[in-house]
Amino acid sequence: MKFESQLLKGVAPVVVLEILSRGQMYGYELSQAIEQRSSDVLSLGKGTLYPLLYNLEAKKLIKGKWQQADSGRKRRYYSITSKGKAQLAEQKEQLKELTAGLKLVFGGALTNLA
Amino acid sequence: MKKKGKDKLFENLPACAAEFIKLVIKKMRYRKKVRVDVMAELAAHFEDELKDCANDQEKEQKARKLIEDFGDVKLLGILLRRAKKRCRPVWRTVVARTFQTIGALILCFTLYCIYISLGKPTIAVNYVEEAARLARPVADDNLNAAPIYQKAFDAYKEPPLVEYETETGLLDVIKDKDWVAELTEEELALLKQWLSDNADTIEFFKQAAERPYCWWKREAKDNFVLSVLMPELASLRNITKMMVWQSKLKAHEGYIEEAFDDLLTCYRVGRHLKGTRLLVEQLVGMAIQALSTKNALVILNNKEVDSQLLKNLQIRFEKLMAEDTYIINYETERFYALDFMQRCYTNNGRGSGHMIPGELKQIGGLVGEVEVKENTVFDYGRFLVMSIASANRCEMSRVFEKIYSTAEEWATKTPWQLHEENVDFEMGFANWSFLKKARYWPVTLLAPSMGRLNEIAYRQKAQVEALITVLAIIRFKQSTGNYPESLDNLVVTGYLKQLPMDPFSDKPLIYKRTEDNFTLYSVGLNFIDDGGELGKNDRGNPTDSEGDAVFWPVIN
Repeated sequence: MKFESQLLKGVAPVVVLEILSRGQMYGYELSQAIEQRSSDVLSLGKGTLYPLLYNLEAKKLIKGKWQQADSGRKRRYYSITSKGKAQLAEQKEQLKELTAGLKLVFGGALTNLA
Repeated sequence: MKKKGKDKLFENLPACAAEFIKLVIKKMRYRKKVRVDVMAELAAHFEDELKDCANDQEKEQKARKLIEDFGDVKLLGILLRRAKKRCRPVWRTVVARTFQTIGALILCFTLYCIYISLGKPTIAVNYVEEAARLARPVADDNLNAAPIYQKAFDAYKEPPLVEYETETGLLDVIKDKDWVAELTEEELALLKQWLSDNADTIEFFKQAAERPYCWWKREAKDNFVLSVLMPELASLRNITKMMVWQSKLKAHEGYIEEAFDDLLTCYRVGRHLKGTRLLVEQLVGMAIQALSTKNALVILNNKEVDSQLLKNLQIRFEKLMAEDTYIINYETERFYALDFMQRCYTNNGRGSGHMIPGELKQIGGLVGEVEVKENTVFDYGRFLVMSIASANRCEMSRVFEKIYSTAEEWATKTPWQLHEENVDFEMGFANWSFLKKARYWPVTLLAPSMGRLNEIAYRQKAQVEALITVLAIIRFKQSTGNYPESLDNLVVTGYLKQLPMDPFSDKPLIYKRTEDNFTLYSVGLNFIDDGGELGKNDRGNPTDSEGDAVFWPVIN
């Protein structure tokens, strides 16, 4: 299942920060990780991924650094910063509340939809 | 990135992927270093995505799918540029914005320069003709002295050279000598010869001086008032100097009446240059009259003159004085400013307009000390800066109008009255800020020196009054055997119609009897009675800014 792009757009930064909070990754790895960990539910368009990474870097939530990958090739690894961690924690809290709110609104309907 | 590095980056990628990445980077339009970084990252992404492909065909297919996934090239380029722009440090943003602003300003400035450079003046009035019209009275041509003056100029022979090596003429050698007795025999012989050679000139000069009016046909390059040629002024001055020496020579030889006739001729010549004329003409006219009156006093100082002749002279000078004006006229002078503005500014029809740099070369000779050559980049640049700095035509007109109307008002007041009113002759210009001075720079170029002009005009008036008074005092002495006790005595006894007024005190000229002579003086430019002492500067040379203006006794 693929999400509506606008719906995904709001959560994409949180998802990226969450993935990176578990360890540094380069662009390709990150897109793979998002798809795998969301069982292909979340799939960030490649045209969105790199602008998103650069935007997060501009906000100093993540930082990029060229490093030698296991393959021996140079890759730009992204890691979360302390500012990014704080932001992630805050946004996760908001997401929790959003989920709770959504549950209240839809009640059992959410499961019935499936 | 060098071509070799680029090729290495794309060596494992299908052509379509390499092409796509290059296109994205091209659309990104950002700093090279950043673009290289992004290109390497995108290439790495493709490389990782395609690493498990078994063959080139599969690579090609997968690459195309990925390209599709990346989306529109142009949009991706824009998004990448925007994101990378946000990544740059604040200082870099500041520098970039600064340069952008400077660039925008340079562009605006360039456009403005082009705009003002393309301006064209509207020449609506021929001010040379206007000046000639104002100078010409409603009178018949045969009352005009100018054609006869021209005959005098044509007949004039330059003073003989005394020092051939330095080409110094007789007039230069004897300029500091006041009286014929001070000349050497050689100088006297040369003077007589020179006067003899100029007999025709002198005759024409006398004839011209008798005519009531004088107006000249004016010529000016492009009819620009600032370029008006006035060759007659130098000629009139030279012939006057010659006449003055002829007068003194005649007096020395005993022909007193003829001597004074010559001086009266000079005085009348000076009158021809006054009234509604340019300031330079009026100043030369006053200088000629000053030569006449000063040398009349020199003759009186050196020669005994009989009472009847003195009386006759007094009447003639009184008559000339009554007919003359001692008020500076600015009516024509303002044409300088008006013509300057119509030629060097555009006219938008509402009285406003901007200065045109290309037209300023017309006044090049008056701008700065550097000689203006035609169309040099340096001069044009200078004129461009001056034009940009200048106030618009409307504002400039207002300032000039204020200057000239103030000048006309002040011209009717004596230096003493202006001193009492504590007027600022610079009209506050000295206190203007640098920017204001730059905006109104033509004012410093064209505005007359009103205070100085006022002093010159009224000093000339005082000198004529002093001459008339001296004539009356000598007559009184010849009749009574004594000098009068006061100037009032002269009026009461009918030797003088009225007391001579000192424009520098608005009181009568100061008269004092001495042991066997008398003193007559004005308090002068410092407005203080220094007891009849001439002003001297630090080097001991006479100066008119200090001390009194002493008319009698005559001091060289």
